[in-house]
Amino acid sequence: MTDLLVEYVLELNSNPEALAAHEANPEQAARDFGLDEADIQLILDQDVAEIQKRCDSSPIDTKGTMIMFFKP
Amino acid sequence: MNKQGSLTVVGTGIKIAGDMTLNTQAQIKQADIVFTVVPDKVSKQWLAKLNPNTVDMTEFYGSNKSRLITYNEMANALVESVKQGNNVCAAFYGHPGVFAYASHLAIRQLKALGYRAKMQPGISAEDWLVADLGIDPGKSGCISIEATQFLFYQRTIDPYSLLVLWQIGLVGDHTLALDKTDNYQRGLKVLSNELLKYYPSDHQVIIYEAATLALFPPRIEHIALAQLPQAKLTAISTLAIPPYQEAPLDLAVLKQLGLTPEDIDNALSIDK
Ligand SMILES: C[S@@+](CC[C@H](N)C(=O)[O-])C[C@H]1O[C@@H](n2cnc3c(N)ncnc32)[C@H](O)[C@@H]1O
Repeated sequence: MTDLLVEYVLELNSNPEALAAHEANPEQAARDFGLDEADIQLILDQDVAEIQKRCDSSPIDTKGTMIMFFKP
Repeated sequence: MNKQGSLTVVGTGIKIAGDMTLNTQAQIKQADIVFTVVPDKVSKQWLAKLNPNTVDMTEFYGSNKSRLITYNEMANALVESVKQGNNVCAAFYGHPGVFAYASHLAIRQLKALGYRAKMQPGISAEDWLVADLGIDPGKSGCISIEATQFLFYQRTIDPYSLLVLWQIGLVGDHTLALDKTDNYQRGLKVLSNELLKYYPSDHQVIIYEAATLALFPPRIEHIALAQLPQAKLTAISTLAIPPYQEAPLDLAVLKQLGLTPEDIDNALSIDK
């Protein structure tokens, strides 16, 4: 199942116009994209931990990020 | 003649979706099957949109399991799928050949077996570092090395060049089995002591984390080298150490070239 908040993050990552609109007015841009009130609030609160959780993006988790080891 | 079945390894970049080249997107779309090693759901959701037939290779990671075993399993999975006649795409985050192991291994093995196997470059964390920090690695030269490798082996650094230390959140770990970056304090202290052999304690170093989501800014934290042991690190922290000072001219070499320091100054001056 696709998560609309994750879709929004993808849109901001890949569309400079969408990012500019978000930076100018995050609430309006998120609402125009169709996010529900709870998700809009997460963005307005800059709730990094919760948004990272929704994106399954834990910066301390080595899974998927540590793909090298130390041997020269 | 090449056998049926092929492998193309691509990089998804750091800022997912935005960092992928057109060629990379086409490779993913056109593959029979896509194997992925990407760190988050955003990346997985994007890749599955481009090609619904994806296999998540992060499933190979395991608690207390050496990543060396995991990487070999990843390479095996790619090789086996190609042997079955598939046109396989393997998507790794960042640049798929930078500080990566399984990607290079699978390509080597497949080529040795007579299959077509190649890599497309991607945007790595270091590419974002150059852009976000505004440091040109060509200006002073750059040494880019994995932090634990720097500690475990007898390596020297050049304080006149930019130093980039990768995987600092795992520094000193010899088990290759940590699944969280929560055990780096001792290694970080030893690393700091080693660096203090080259730089003064007030030299400013930078803990850098490129933004993976455009919603948030990158982490660019300037601290004095003496403060490094107290730093809070994550799996995506990279340490950048700017040059300590300008390298002195090598007068003996200049002489062999028939040059003087003034010749160099004049060449580099714009008010001629
Ligand atoms: C195994 S390497 C993989 C690098 C990846 N292939 C690339 O091209 O950037 C993992 C290390 O890359 C660096 N890294 C990964 N993501 C990063 C980010 N968002 N910002 C800064 N450094 C990052 C960190 O040093 C991390 O420990």
